Amino acid sequence: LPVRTVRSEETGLLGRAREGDVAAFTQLVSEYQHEVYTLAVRLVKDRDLAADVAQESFVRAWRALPKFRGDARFSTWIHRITVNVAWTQRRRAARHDAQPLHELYADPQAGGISPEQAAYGASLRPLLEAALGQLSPHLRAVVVLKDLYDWSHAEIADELGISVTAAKVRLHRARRNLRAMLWEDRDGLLDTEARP
Amino acid sequence: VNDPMCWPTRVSLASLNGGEELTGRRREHAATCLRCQAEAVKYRRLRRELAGLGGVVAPAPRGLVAAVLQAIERDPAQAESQVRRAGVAAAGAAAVVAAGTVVVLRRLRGAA
Repeated sequence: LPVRTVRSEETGLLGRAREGDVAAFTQLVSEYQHEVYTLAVRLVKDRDLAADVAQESFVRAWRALPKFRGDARFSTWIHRITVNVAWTQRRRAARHDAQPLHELYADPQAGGISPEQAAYGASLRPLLEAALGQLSPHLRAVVVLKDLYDWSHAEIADELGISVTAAKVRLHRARRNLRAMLWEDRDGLLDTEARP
Repeated sequence: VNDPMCWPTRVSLASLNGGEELTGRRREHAATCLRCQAEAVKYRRLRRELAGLGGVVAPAPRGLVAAVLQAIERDPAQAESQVRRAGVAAAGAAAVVAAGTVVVLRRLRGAA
């Protein structure tokens, strides 16, 4: 279907859902479930927790629908809700698990990314997924929202409750850590060619 | 041994976004430093691969839609809005009946 048709269908569904039409909202959930779940997985890494996040996000969206003015696209709006829910749930889960929330990245050597795997020219996708999983939640959230979802620093800062400067610093750290995990050295100043 | 400009240049490289370039002395340095050029390639590739991941979708678990629907149906806010909607509908119906009664009465009065 052409984009315009899809958008107008979505607008119709949104209008009906705003008036309390559960069937219309269910259709929106069906259309966005994979997108929302994917974002949740990227943010919290745990698939079970991500399913909870996705469900809670849609329920919150349903409750907040009367206030949704439609000046943003539904996908943008539901993404923001998902980030918010993921952040809350992750914090709660972290409290229960008593896991420290490191600002620093985990040891790349511990993550099973071998130098052979990280060789130039090889497909980076699985390595990158693994490397993302090793970032601290704070760093991962910023790099996911910026580099995968193209959010602005201001949007990220607003949604994560941090300053724009902090968002920039975290993005910088996250990229450096990813780069170090993918290409071995940590500070980006080592001569990789000189390594065995 | 790295040039003293390598460090600030690589710090900047990690912060660049798509379409952005190094500027000033860092740009001049990168133009002549092969290591920094290699770093630039790595960061470009990293950004490209990250952007590519944005298009990868993890299929939602089966039953998510049903779970959402169930949660909505037992949501107190939903129950409240249903009551509100029912109230609005009843008020609307009452208004229609009242208006109809007025019209009928006027016609009857006119006929008399």
